[in-house]
Amino acid sequence: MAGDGGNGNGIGVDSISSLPDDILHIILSSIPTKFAIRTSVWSKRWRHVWSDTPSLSFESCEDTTSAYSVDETLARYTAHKMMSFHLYTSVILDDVPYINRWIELAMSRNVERMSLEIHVDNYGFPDLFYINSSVKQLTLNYSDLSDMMIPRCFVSWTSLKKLSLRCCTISDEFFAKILSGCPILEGLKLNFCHTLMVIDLSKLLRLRTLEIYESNLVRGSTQIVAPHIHCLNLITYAQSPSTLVDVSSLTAASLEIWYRPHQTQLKTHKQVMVLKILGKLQNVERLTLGTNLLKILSLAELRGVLFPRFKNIKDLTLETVVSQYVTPGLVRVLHNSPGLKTLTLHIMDSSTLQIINPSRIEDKYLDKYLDLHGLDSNQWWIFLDIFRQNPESKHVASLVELVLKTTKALEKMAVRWEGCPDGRRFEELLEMLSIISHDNNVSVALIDHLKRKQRKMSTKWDYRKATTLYD
Amino acid sequence: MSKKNIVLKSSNGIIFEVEEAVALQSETIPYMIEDDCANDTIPLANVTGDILALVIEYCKKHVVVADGDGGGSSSSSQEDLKNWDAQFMNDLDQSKIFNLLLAADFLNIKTLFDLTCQFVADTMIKGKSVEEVRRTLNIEKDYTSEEEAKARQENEWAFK
Repeated sequence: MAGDGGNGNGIGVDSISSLPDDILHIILSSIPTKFAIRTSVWSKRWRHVWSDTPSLSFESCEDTTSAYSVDETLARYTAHKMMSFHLYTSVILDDVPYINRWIELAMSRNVERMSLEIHVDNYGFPDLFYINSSVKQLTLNYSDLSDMMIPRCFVSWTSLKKLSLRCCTISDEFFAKILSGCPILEGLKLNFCHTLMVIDLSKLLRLRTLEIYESNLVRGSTQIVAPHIHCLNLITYAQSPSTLVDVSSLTAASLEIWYRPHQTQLKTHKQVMVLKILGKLQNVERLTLGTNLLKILSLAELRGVLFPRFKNIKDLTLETVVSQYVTPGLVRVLHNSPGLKTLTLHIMDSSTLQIINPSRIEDKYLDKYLDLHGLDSNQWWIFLDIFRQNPESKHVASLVELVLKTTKALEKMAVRWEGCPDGRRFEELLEMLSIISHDNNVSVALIDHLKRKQRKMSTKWDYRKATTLYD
Repeated sequence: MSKKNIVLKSSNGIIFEVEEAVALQSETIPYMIEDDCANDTIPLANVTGDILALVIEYCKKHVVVADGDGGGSSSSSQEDLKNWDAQFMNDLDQSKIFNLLLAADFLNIKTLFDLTCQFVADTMIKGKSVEEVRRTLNIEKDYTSEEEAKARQENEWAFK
């Protein structure tokens, strides 16, 4: 990098072509392979650079890209060791042999990360796919892993540490077969795999993290047996909440409930199932709870149901709206978390919430439930005057005050106002929080995401601190 | 509160004194500390002062957030860092970007190296026509028209 004195913008200098190949390969690895291949026509220097790139990524769903021509290109691919292979395709049935050949190619180059999404009717992975010792991370999207597709061979993924199945149709039997071949699996994600009813992970001694986002198509309560995991991230559907059979090693958990759109009935026995899940999280040190869950807990609290105590909890995150419907549940959780040291409040407004989580409970159904059960809720509704779509700074501040009144051992609190509509409300809250913080002797920080986004980064390195010396 | 400082010297003799935690984001610097006497400055013969200043700005930003926010709210600070990173890269001209990339490689600062590589790929390569790339990156066309046509034809699908 000699010769660059300062502010020249590289006129006439071809910096990129003089970079060493291994750096160029890393650069080209981070974009779809199609763009990496295009570099071959830049100049002679670039003729074959792409062909040694350790990562390939194909996203072809247009008919214009024929599998045959991609296949021809791959014949010129020379990397001996592949780091990642990503394939998203929706080809015709005739092209299946090509797909299988590409998977085979990646596996023959000892690929470490593989991500596949193949939209071909009745596509089943070839047997050789199931026997592999190099893949450490595998993601399968929209795969058919139903009983009909179970391979004749054993599954043997001896290096696999992270497995992610998204929108896969997978039978319990196939799932068990896959897990039997993953002796060192550490992380498992199962997102929207609605056919899975039994998730028995008791034989995976090294499994530490489990993430499950249920699908609204789920037919019944999924049984989760995961005695070795430390960290659970679960979103379950209200119509049939999962059953945590064994999560006895858990130290951290995140829990939220989703609702089917137009699900108008909030049934008491579903609340009981939700409380049972929460009961299984009693020993965690770190816990995150979502808005819907807090609302359900509010109903349970108003009914006077006994709540689990979180005797080891140190760190709690609440992702919540500012609403009267969350407060009873929120206060109860805080009462039952005596050792809480740090708390993060993610304040969302209803509109952001709708984007991230369309499956929220509508407040009118909560009212209906309360009416139906003759519950008097007025003593709890401290936010009666709020237009809930758009809380003012004072509403957020009073929620923070409520939290501080309820907690005993809290040392630190962070507030993040996701839907903060403008800078004025942000500044107002900042001021209010500094008073609250002072009065309660707890450090309260407002996470300044709005401002940082808008701020022009003008804080260059301060040259006054640098002394110039000449040899 | 006494924090240990480390003194770095750029190729053109500019001295920077930084906190140890800032400098140790580089995996190369610890080896240089061990090799040299403790009180000496660490000479970085491959990095000019203006680039080293950028490296330090980046490292300072990333070290502060790492121990400032603590475990619980890590996801939020991650997002804020991402925004900061994007702005940081956007403010640089091309020559600085490539020199920064080489400095990150030499100093072995993985996150900065990945950031600059991704930035180069996304803003200078992806979605650009051949003529555009040659012009902006000053790449000399040394193909004959026939050679270029052949190279293109070989992987025609990739140009659609």
